[in-house]
Amino acid sequence: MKPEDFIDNFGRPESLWMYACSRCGACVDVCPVYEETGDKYTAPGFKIKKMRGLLTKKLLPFLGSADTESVKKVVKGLYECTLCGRCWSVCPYNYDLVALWEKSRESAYETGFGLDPLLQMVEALIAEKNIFKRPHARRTDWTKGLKIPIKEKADTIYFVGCLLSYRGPLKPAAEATAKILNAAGEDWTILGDEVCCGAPLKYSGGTKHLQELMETNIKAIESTGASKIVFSCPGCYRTFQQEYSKVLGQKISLFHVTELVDNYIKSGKIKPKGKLEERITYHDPCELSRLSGVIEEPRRVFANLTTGYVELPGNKFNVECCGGGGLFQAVNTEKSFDIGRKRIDQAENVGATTLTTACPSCYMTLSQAARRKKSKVNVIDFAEAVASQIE
Amino acid sequence: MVKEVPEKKYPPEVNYSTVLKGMTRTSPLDTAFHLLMAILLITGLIIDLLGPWLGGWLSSIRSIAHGYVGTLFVLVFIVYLIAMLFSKTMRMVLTVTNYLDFLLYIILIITGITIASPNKPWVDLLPGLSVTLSPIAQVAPAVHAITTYVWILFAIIFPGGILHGLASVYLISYLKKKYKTMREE
Repeated sequence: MKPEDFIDNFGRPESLWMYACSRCGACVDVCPVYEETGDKYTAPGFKIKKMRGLLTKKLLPFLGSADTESVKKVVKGLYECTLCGRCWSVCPYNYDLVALWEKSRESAYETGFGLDPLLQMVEALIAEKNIFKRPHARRTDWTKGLKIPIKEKADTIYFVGCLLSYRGPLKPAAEATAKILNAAGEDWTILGDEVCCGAPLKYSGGTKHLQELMETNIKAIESTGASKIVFSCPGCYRTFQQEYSKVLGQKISLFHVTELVDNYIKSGKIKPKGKLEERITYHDPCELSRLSGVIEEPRRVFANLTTGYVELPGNKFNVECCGGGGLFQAVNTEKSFDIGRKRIDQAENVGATTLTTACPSCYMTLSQAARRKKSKVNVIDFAEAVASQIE
Repeated sequence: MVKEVPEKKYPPEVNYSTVLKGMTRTSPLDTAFHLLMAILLITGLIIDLLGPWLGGWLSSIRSIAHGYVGTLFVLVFIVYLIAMLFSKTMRMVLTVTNYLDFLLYIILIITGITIASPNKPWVDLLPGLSVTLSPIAQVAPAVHAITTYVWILFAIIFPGGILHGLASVYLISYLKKKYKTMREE
């Protein structure tokens, strides 16, 4: 674990990134983690400044050499980030800062500077193909007692993801998605041999293990002959768009459940029972709205479900993170919930009785933040909100 | 209060136009500061290195492209320094190199005003100015030129202005190409 290895592992574009930063500080002003922690090392611009310092010391040795403690501080800051992309959204240069953080984490992981909880997560992924180190054989246990098809051939695959497969509180969301797919008359299945999509590997820096997971999933997907994959998790959805689509090509269309429901309502495949008067609000998951551009679809759906839809402040492309992204919760649980609590406050302030979201990670953070706060706001998944309103 | 920015696409498209638009939108002050500095550096080098070959153009470049643009830069620089003093986030991301850069800019500004002042109307408006600057009037042109080259050297070796500029040019070109390849795929 040599401090200079951390920098050596950066590519030329990433190294130049540090020098190209215009030092305007716009990213610092909007970072949800820095706002909550007040720790300079969590501020995007400051992290770049410190990494540039390490790089300069390597290039100009007379300035002194990088020490392990400095690298550890920088790396801790790199992991204390929700990867929400808010810094990128305000960057005047439009540099892909999300990619920079992911690459930096990869460098930290590769050179032995990765943080413990995340290293354990990577080990779990290698051993059991899920982030919770639960037996792979029990991945489809959630389907017991439910009419969830596991077929050899189907037109549509529902890619469930680790959180919905293994986390009890999210079981209703998976059930609701199944109900929607059935209501629309889809010829669908879940994969009997689904494994983690690999998104947590990108977040933790263990990207080198991604290929193995991808191969298992791709093999299972191709054997079904499906033309469509639907996701509940924006992390899985984005990983498929970024990585899997290079292999799957154009032959398989990828949909997040919000897009699919929007299409179903437009085409009349599903019909909502009628409009509720309940004040429902929606938290845009950063990976879905800001980083994937799925913004209007859920809103069009809610326009068909309720007359009492209200927007949260900090929404759509400018969404404020819930604190649950980028594995931040595994690194700093308390601060993650503190950020989530702010979102619950905002939901209360707009008078919402139900807060929906379309991401299992956001759901877990927001529902726990609401519970800790003893809030009366009911947090549910987007699919649950839809499923309760269809025949 | 949530900072609202216009929606853009991820992964981002980066080229010179998007960077200029982004900079102008985020901070007109920052854009003006960078743009004016680039003009002054280029025109300064033209005057110093190509002066004997410029003929009648030399005077125009010196007084307009370098002189009046320089005046504008002084005004922008003052606002930039005030903004920096009041912005905790800017101070957090700026480094020692940037502060040394500022020091060199101040030397360039003082010597620049000294060189430009004789027989100019503002000397009459500011009677104390010529008295204040008179001790350095003889050496000002040399100091101005030497400081420029010291700054160029300093800003190439350390992560200052020139290195930042070169890194930006390389990175923008690289990302522009990468985005094009990605779109074609």
